[in-house]
Formats: sequence, C-alpha cells, structure tokens
Amino acid sequence: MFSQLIKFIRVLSSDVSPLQISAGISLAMVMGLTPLLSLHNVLVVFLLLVLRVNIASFLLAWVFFSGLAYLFDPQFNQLGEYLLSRADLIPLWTDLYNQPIARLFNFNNTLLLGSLVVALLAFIPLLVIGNFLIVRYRQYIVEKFKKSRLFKFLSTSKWFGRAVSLAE
Amino acid sequence: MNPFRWSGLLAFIVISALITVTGMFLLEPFVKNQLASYLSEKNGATVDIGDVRINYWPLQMTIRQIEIGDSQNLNLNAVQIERVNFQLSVDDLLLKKLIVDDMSVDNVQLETQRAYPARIIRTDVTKTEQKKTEEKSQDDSFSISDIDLPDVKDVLKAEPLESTKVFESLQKDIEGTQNNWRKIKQDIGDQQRWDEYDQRYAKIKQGFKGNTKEKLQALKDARQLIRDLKKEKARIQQARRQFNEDYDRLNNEFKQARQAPSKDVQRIRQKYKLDNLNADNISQLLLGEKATAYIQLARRWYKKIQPYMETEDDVKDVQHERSRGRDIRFTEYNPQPDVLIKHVSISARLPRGDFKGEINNISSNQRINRKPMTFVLSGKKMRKRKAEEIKGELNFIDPENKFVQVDYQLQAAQLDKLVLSRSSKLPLSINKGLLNMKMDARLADGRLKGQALMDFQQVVFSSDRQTGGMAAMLADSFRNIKQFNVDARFVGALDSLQLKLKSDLDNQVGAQFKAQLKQKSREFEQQLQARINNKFKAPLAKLETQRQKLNQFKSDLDKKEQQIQQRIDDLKQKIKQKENEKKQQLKNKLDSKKDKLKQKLLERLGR
Repeated sequence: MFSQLIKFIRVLSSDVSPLQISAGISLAMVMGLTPLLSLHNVLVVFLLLVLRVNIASFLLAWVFFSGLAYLFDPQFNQLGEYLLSRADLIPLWTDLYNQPIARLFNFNNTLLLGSLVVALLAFIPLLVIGNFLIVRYRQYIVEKFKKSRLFKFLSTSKWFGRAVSLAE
Repeated sequence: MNPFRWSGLLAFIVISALITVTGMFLLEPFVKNQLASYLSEKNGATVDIGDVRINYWPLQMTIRQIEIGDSQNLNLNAVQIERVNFQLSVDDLLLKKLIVDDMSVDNVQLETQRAYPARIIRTDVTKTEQKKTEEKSQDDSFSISDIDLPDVKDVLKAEPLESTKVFESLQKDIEGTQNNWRKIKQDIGDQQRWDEYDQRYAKIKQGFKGNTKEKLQALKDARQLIRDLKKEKARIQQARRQFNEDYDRLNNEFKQARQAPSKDVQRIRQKYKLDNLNADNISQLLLGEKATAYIQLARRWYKKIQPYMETEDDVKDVQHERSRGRDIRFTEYNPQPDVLIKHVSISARLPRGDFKGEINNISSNQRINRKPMTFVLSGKKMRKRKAEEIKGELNFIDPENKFVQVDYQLQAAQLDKLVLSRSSKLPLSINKGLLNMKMDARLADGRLKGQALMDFQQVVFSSDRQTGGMAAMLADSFRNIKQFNVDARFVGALDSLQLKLKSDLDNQVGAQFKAQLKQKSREFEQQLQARINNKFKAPLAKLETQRQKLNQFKSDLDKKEQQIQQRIDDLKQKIKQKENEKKQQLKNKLDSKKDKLKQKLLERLGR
C-alpha cells in the first residue's frame, strides 16, 4: 500500500501524461464503486490494459473508491431502485431483461445499476478535473516543494532514501 | 503518443484464455461441490456425488454415482442413482434459467449400504427423527394387546376418579354451610337477648296488675315488645329461607356425589372402549397397525421429497453479494421458471423388481409454465408380484388449489409371513396369501384424503400362541378364514391421520367370540363398579350423617319461631283483655254517673 502511494506520488511528479493518470483514476472509480464481480468490470480491465492508462494510479484509486463505495451503498441502492421502478424506463428494462447478453451484466440489480450510473456520470468530469488538477499540481506544488528546505533535508536523509527504496 | 498499449491487449487475451482454461478445468469439481452441498442442505444429511462431466458443445452434463444419505439411518443411502444425464440450453442459461428438455436417470436404488456413514447437515432433521421415533414407539404400542381387558386394580391406579373431586367439593361445602349455620344459630339463640325479652315480659305482666298509670305503661311496653318479637320472627323466617336454599343445594350436590361413581364407571368404559370390545373392530385392531405403518412410510417418503418440490415465489427478491442490492424482475416475453425439466426418464432397480417410468414438467414454479408435474413408475420383471404401478400428479398451478394426487396399484402380490400382530399374547401373521390392492390419495390444504381397497386371497393365518383364554379363542376363529377384503379410508392432517378400516373379517371371526368378549366386558364393568362403590361407601355415609345434622338446625329454627309466636299471641291477648277491662270500667263508671244524674233529676222533679 505504502509502495503504491510512493509510486503514485512519483508518477504525479514525473512526466507521465496527466490524462493517463486521471484516466486510471476514473477507471478505478468505475471498478471501485460498483460490485467487483460484475461483467462490466471485465470491460474496465480490458480498457485498463489496452489503453495507455497509468496502472499505479488505478490501483491506488481502486482501493480508495472501494472503501468509498461501502459508505455510499445505501444511496446507490436507492438510486438503482428509483431507476428500475420508473414507469417510463420500464419498457427499456423489460427489453434488456429479455436479452441474454444484457442479463449477464446484472443490470436489474439495484445496487449495481445505481453505482454504475453514478460512476459513469462522474467518469468524464473526474477525467477532466483530475487532468486539470495534476497539471496545476506539477506547475505549483511540485516546483515549490523542490525548492523547500524540507525537500533538501529529505533528499539528503539516508533514512528517507532507504524507506523509499524499500517501498519500491 | 499512441493511446493504445498493444502489449496490454496481448496480456488481456492471455489472461482471459488462462482464466477460461482454468475455469474449464475447475468447473466440473466446482459444480460437483456446489451440487453436493446444495442437495445435502436440502436433504438434511450428506449427499455424495461421484463425478460430474460437462461437455461444452453441445452443453451437456453427466452426473454419476449420486448417493443421498438417509437422515434416519446414516449407514444407508435413502436413494442411490448411478447416472443422470441431461442437455442444457445456453440461451436459457444466459437468462439464468436451467431448462432441460430431456433428462435420463438410470439405475435408481433405494436404501443401499453406504461406504461410510453420512453426516447430519440440518439439525431439524434430528428433531424430526426423534419425533418419528416417538411415532414409531406409538405404532408399536398399537397391537392386538388392545383387545385384552385391563386389570381393574391397574385401571383404578392409573385413572384419576372424578368422584374423588365431587366428594371433596361436597365435603367442603357441607363444612362451610355448617360453620355458617352455627353462627346464625348462635345469633338467633342469643340467651342474653332472650332473657331480656323474658324480663320485659315479666315486667309487663307485673304492670298490668298495678294502678292505672302502671297499666298504661305496661300496655305501651307490651306493644313495643310485640314489635321487637316480630322483628325476631322475621329474622328467623329469613334464616329459614336461606337454610332451605342451602339445603336444596347440598341435596343436589349430594345427589351428584351419589351418581359420581357410576359416571366414573361409564367414563372408564368409554376410555377403554369396553363398548367396542367385540369382533366388530377386530380388523381395525389387527390391520390398523399395518396400515398405520404404511401411512408412516408414505409420510416419511413424502417428507423426504418435499424439500425438492417446494415451488419458489415468482416475486422473490435475490439478495446481492454486497447484501444490499435487490434483483428486480421484469416481465419476460417468453416466461419460464428458473428451473424446468420437461421430461425425465427413470429406471430403478429395487429388491421387488425393476421399475421404469417418467416424470414430466419438474418446475421450480408451476404458475409460470402452467403444467403440473406428473410421474408414473411401472414395475417390470417383478418378484413375488404380478404388477405394480404408482402414478401421480403434483399440481401447484393455482396457489389456492394446490394438490398432490397419488394412485397405486398392486396385483397378485405373494404374502409371505406378513406379521399382523407382534403382541406376545397373540402373535398373529398371514403365512401365505395373495394381495390385490388399489389405493388413491390426495393431499390438499395440508390434509390427506384417500382410500385403499385390499383383497386378500388364499390366506393362511398362523399364530404361535403361548397362552390360553381370549387370545387362544381369537386365534382359533381365524383358522378357517381363507379370504377377506379391507376398505381403508384415511383423512386428516399429515401428522394426525384418522384411519377407518372396514373388513368382512369382522363378520367371519364368529359370533361365539363376540358373545364371550361381551361377557368379559360385563364382568370387568361389574368389578369396576363394585370397587368404585366400595371406595366411596364410607365417605358417602359420613356425608349423609353430616347432612342429617343440618336438619337439626331446621327444627331449632321452627322451635324458636313457635316460641316467639306464642309470646306474641300471649301479649296480644293480654293487651286485648286489659283494653276490654278498661272499656268495661269506663262503661260502669258512665252508667253509675248516669244513674246518679237520673236520681238527682227525679228527686228535683218530685219536689
């Protein structure tokens, strides 16, 4: 966990594209917020591997969003319940329910649908905002930190170097 | 920069392939374990599965060596199946439905020996087992020994007599009433008060002898005394009325106490079925045990297969893994139950012969596929019987009108040492014979109703009796019976079935036996009556004496009332007498004054 954090901080500070990092975080959000053993997560893993997405940021964010999901499960459940019982959407759900492939996605589960809808709605905003924040972070915070006494002290400290190498 | 990571695609393909291949290898043991644990849970005892084979194209599954442990006897398999084979529809599986068009179940055997003992999976099964053991012990107690007359001493020891309660209650009531009347008697017979009345009476008598003033005072006191005595009389009359009520009540209770021993005799008579102790119910006693055992067996098998027949609720929500989600169901364009096996062909090898049959429409929810489950099993190459067939229908289509119907037929079954009674007093069995039987039963609303018609032919009864008397007499009466029929009807809840048996066996058993049984029954009743009467003779006499004592109160009251009345009459007479005397005196006084005035007037006129 600690190593992932170190890696993530390094990645944040490195020249890895901010979009790759924010894409990793966004995909992690989809996987973390929704129930793990769902078919759509195979698609998430596929995208994670095929697209040039930062895996370290994905792994760290996944842990974070999984924890977050347990806090918001009741709300996801309520949202799923609301969507699945809306009269105007019932023809759509009924059509999907009768499609073998759609049934495999278990869309008729209140928790899954609620969490997936939230994750998908938040995907693009998180991607854009994440990208923006990483750029700003590199521009201001990293530069300032590199000039600070603490950084100079830490960079010369044997203990810090050992901890980082151990974590790596 | 290239947004794609082609090495990642390769990794994904490799990982997917690895998972698929591993899954294919692991699927069979996984299905085997899942199926075994699911069936074990349903069965309540271990279910072992030898092997599961899955063929992926076309999707087909073969299960071998299914051993369903018997929760009642862990060393036995209730059912053992050599091979189950069926083909699955992939489309339906994707829709989470298990739809099987054709299934074959080969070589079913019942009650086979297990290689190692089964384990109990559900604890409620052991409870059922205990219950069944109790039922079994009840069955065992149902034997020919029921027709033997019980010993009167034992009956009186075992039976709490109502008479005892009645006598105790009467005793208490008499004592309570006596105490109450003692108080009333004390109050009425208060000597001090009566002495005071006597003193007042004496004073009045004295006053009447005095001067005019004293006489007038005595008259006033006499009237007051009369009023007080009348009050006393009213109290006595009130007491007498209460006494009469108490007396009537005690008389009633006493009457009941007298009748109580006879009522006890009647009750015991009914309980020990003394009225029915004749050959009319001999078939019930003889064959009832056997019929009850068969019903128990049928019930046991029904309970064994019942968990597999439970139909699921079509609106049941499935909890998700995270335990908070709910699977919502929508209308299906082609509605099908979650599990549907349209046709099963079965072959079974039982000790009595080989059976072949089929089951149609095994469904997890008949309300969806609208077809009842039907089955038929027919015997082939039967041993010691010509033919045997069982067929039935499990219809749960209409929830308000669910039923299970079973029809059974048996032709020319050879009877060999069929034990009818294990009673040590009269061990009776059919040594040889042929049995034809037709049975139908219908279970609806938790109530079973059915009829079994049995026809016994070429029967040879045997009894290794060791004692004489009634048992010997009964055994002899069976010797000449060669054929008989039985009409058994059963109705009621599964756990408390009422069984009625009719048979021409009763008519054949013989009039002499009936007469002797009746005589024995009469003797028993007389003995019982004598013993009970004897037991309550002394208490009854004691109660009678106590009741007689109460009569003494009544005579005391009468005496007291008489005394008061006498006193009142006496006083009234005296008052009247004195008033008359006073009137006479006044008249005399007036007459003398009149005479004097007349004299004076005459004197004046004479002058």
